[in-house]
Amino acid sequence: MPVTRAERRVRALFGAVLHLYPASYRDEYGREMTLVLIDRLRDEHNAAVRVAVFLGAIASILADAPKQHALVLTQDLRLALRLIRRERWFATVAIGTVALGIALSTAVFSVGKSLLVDALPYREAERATMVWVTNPRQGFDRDFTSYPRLLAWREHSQLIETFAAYTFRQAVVTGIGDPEQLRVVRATPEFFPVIYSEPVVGRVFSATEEQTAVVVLGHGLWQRKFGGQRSAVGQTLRLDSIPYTIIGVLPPSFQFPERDVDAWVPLQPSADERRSGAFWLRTVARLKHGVSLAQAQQEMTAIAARLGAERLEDRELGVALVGLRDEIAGPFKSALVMLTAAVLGVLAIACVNVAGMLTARGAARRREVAIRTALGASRRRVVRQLLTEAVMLFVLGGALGVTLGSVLLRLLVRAAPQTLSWLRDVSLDGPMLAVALGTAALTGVVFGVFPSWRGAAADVAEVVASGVKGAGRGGLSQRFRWALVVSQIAIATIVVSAASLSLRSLVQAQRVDVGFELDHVLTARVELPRTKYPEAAARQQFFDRLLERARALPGVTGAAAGSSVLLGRLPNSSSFTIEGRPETIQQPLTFDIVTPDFFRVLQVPLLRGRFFSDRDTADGQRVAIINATAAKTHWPNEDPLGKRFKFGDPADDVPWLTVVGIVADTRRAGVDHPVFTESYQPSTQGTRSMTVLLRTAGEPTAVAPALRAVVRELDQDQPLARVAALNQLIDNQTAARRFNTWLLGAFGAAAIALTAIGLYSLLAYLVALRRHEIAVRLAIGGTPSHVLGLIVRNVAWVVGIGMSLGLAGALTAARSMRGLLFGIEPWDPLSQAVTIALLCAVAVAAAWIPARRAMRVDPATVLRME
Amino acid sequence: MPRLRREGPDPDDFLPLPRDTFDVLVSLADRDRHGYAILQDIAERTDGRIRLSPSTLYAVIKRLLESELIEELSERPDPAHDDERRRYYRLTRLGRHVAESEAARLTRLLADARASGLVPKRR
Repeated sequence: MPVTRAERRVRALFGAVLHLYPASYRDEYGREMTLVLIDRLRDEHNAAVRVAVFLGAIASILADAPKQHALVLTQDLRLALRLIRRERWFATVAIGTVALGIALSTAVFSVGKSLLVDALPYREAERATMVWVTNPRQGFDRDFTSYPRLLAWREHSQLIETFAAYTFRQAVVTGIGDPEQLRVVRATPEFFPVIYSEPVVGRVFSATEEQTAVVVLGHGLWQRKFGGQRSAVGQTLRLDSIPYTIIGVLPPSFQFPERDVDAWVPLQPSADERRSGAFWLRTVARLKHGVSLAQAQQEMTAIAARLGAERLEDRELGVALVGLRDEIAGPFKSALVMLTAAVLGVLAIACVNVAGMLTARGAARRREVAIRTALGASRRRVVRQLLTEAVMLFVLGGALGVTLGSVLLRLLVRAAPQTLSWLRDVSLDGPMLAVALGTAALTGVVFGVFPSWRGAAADVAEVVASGVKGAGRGGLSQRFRWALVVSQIAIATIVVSAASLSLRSLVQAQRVDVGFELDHVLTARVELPRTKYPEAAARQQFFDRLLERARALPGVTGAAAGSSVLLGRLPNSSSFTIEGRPETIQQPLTFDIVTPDFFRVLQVPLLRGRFFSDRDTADGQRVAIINATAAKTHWPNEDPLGKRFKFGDPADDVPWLTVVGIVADTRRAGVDHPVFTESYQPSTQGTRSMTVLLRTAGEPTAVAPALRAVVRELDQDQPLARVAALNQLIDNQTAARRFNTWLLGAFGAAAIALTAIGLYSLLAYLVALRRHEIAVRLAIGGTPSHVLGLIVRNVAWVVGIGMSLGLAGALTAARSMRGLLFGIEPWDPLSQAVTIALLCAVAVAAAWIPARRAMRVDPATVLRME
Repeated sequence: MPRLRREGPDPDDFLPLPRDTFDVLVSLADRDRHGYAILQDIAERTDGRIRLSPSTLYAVIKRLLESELIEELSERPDPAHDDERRRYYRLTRLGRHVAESEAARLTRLLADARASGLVPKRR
């Protein structure tokens, strides 16, 4: 019967819809279905019925196609499962490898996302920015500001809606349970309008409460002291004996400016503080609607320049605006980026490993596939089957990896040092899980396609004829696998190099001489409440007695005190004037109040002059000791001894200080900090806060209870804070670096292990394939050492190329991690040598078993079997 | 007495058959047919009430082929009268047994319905 135009159209349309079916099903029944439909339409004479029949047929396909897909998938999955059961080793290694890669990346990505991507828990946090003073010439990029400068900023800025300033203060809480030293933030009343989140109970303080004694509790303190009772609001909290009315409680997520702040109170600046040019306030501001950080920065830079032209103390100072997220994530950002890159490397190696294994197996299964194709299975069908297997391996690995990842993250959080306490808030992230699983499946598809396609392209006659020994000799497959192993070695080189650079930096950092003797020193902070000790004499007496009694304790060989926290925050500093010079020196000089024994207890050498003594009283000549850097910087060609200087401007009514001694430089703020220009004055004014230092004969912390008892004898409400051994403090300083190094080391180890597996399985596979060739060589007079040479040449090539590429990459990577390095250059030869040696050792180890197997090939047995 | 091992699957394992499946088996019971012939036969027997769509028909055929209740013929039974492109299907022995078992089951059901007065008794 002739085909009409209408029929042609029906065929075309129906044929298109048939594409909804799985290809194998369409190939099998598509033509038949079309014939049946055409017959049916020819038998129908009513046009309307014909249309109905056609539409019914289409609808029926729409309903049936998903079912057919499901059937094929079920079948494929069943086959894949059977295969996994049959090739248990292959499946275990493949799934394990993927799981390891996914686990590491999910854990690290979750940390990264929580810090770099997730929204901060404050209202319109994107409008909040830190405002830091900078002094480019002195290399200060984040300094505090003074109260007068804060007011000047407020007056001049048009783009910033609100400026708030705050500072930290230690306060003793009494009256509820044991006296406890609290970490309190003193903030201007604009603080909460800038950084706001809804209080759990009550309210926060407002602009009208600048001088009111009210307090907002942190969640932790509320739980600790009030058991989380809502009735806490309205009660009184005695801080340093002053009653404050509790007006609200902040949620646990409120962690500004830091974690573990106990309470927030209005700043209540004293008259002195309002006037003082000292750098003591941190500033956080809120941009006006629609103003970008860059615009605000531009305006503030202009304001700083204007202030610098008007005021001496602002000369050379700039302003840096740092968005809230950068401020919080800043210190960890580069480390996190580094770790993320490393973990991506590990993930890539893992995927490449499995890809290599699939390729090898694809080649080994050419025979099976060729036969299946010859028996009538379509190429598409076979590929689909192989693909299902690959994707299944990756998805199973992905699922296992996610489980492993959540365990790993928990371990990571537990192992993290105190300085990374924000890690405690990180949990395995939902979207990250989805991404990880998606990546696993996608990798399965990509790496499953190539081996599968090649497998299905096999020519049955050739493959079957070549027998087992010919299986997988396809040159492309081998070249592809070599390329994979080269890329693995390259990536592993980069990761291992990063790890060894990090390790070297750690060693360097721990080796830095801080300039004082760290061992056998106990430190503790004593902050006397202003209200209880308003008189300088009483404070002086308290510390004199404390040190006297501490010195008498068994096991204590010396006792001293200083006003700064050692190995802690930056010391206080100020501009100063040297007698006989007209201008104020803007480069800040640190000032510390110390007791006479301070340098002896810390074993800081005296270079010239003398230490302080009991003769240096408030009534006598006012004296100072400076460090070597201060002497070199400010008295370059003269003897500073006997010279006089004072803090502030020449006109300021403060006493001149005579330099009586020069001590050696110390890195008092820690290994990562530079040596400052420093000055010290004797303790005669009864400083409110002192760090007590006890040199001990034995373990320093063993003396801590006795020191506590001494303090309690003097004042039973007075707590002792931050009790620690000095060497513990320096350990804490390097804790984050150690943690990074430890993680990078773990990633490096994973990278090496996976690469070793990749190299081993490739070599083992090649040796198995070339058994015949090796046997022939041995039979015609070759020696086992020839065979060994053959393998060594192979390995040397692949490792050589991989490592060269890797080292080039490693140098690029190292340059970008410069900020994380300490005391070494990115091309540090020792680190790179260690990397090369390690990878070579691993290559030898991975090649060892296959090489021995090859050398032990018995030609007689092999050739007889053939 | 030791039980004899049965060759192949038990026809009862396939019961009850879906309506479409039974219809296809019935239309192949008396002769081998191609797809459209099956469709026509079913439509005639049911006075046009049941007209399978092509996709439903071949979903049934695929299932029947897989469970070996029917088979595809390698030769066309009546070359003079048909189109060489068409595929013909035939009931296997198992297929016939299954169809018979289903018919017997339906007969029993009908007998039960008669006994309880749901269906008028035959004169």
